[in-house]
Amino acid sequence: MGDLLRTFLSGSWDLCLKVFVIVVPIMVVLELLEGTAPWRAMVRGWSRLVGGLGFTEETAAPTLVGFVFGLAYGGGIIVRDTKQRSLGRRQVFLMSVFLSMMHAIVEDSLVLIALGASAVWVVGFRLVWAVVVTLALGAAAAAVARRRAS
Amino acid sequence: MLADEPQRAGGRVPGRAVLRSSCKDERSQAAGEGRQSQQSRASVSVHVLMLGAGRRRGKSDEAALRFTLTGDGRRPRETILAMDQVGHDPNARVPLRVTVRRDVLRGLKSGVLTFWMLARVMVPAYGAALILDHLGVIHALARVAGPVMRPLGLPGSATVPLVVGYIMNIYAAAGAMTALHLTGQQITVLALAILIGHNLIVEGAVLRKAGMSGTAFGVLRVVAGLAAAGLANLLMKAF
Repeated sequence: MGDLLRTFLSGSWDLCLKVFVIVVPIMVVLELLEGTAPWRAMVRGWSRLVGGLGFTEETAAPTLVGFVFGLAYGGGIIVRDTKQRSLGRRQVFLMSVFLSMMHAIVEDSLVLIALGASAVWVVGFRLVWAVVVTLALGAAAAAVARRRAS
Repeated sequence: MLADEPQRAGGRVPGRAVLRSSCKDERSQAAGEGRQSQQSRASVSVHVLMLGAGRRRGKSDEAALRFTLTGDGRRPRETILAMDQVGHDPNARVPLRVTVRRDVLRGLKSGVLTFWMLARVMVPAYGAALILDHLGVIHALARVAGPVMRPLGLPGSATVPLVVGYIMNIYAAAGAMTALHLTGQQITVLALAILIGHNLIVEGAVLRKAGMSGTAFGVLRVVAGLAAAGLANLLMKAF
């Protein structure tokens, strides 16, 4: 029992330290980037890419953050944007589906590629899969919404 | 309820609605207060892009605020937030040094707040996972899930990293994976399943914060991850 408590305390400390070291710089960098020309160009390019999946430009920005930094770290931005910008429920759903299939593209993928997984499959196939699942569930959600409306 | 808000019914894209309403406002405002005519349609469309993206600086804030006040007056709290964020003269040129300082301070503040929100979610989840592990629930689950592994071309022991990943995280799963003897293809297939479904308790809590069902997305990620792994296994065998 004491062992478990010690693991919990040291593990929690490590976890918090890691999250703190990642989250705070990300927030500062994002705050500096937001509204600048390169950021707008990036979001515009990205939103053109994911526009086909049904994302609006407002949702594209937090999705990009989650895509790159991950659900746990990007989650803060995602939750903030959902509340502040009042994204529609449909948009949050689409974003959650896409990010469920694919997030933290750099960090998570690298860990498993380091263990010997094929980069082409882990990144390429997963991206295709994320797109297909998002399209399918987006269409399903739209159908359900239509049926409820009528 | 998955449908968009009733106000936006009629198939109107929200972005378009912003464009139209802020366009009109921009003009009447310019006429009323005798502003320079440079606030024309062209600049408004830029505003709308900024509004959609990160918009914090300069005139975009004004357009954003005006839309918040006129177009979507239904949410007074957000309006106050928006005013707080744009409390400067939109036409004034703010020196770079000032904006950088302001942005860094703002970033630190929201960073610490976000950290606090995540920590409150993550630490209890981590504790729960530790207790489950301590009680042997993880290993029991791994044994039960054995038959599911066969269609994926994986040995039954591969359920250990998979289930560890579901409950804990990628790092724990990677640790459990290194203890097994797997072929390159098996590693890739297992990696796909783990990458799609992992850390379900903590990330489910994040999704719940965003207003989604953590449980439903947990199930989705397990099912979709196994399906992707199975498909990849078949494709890799075929080629």
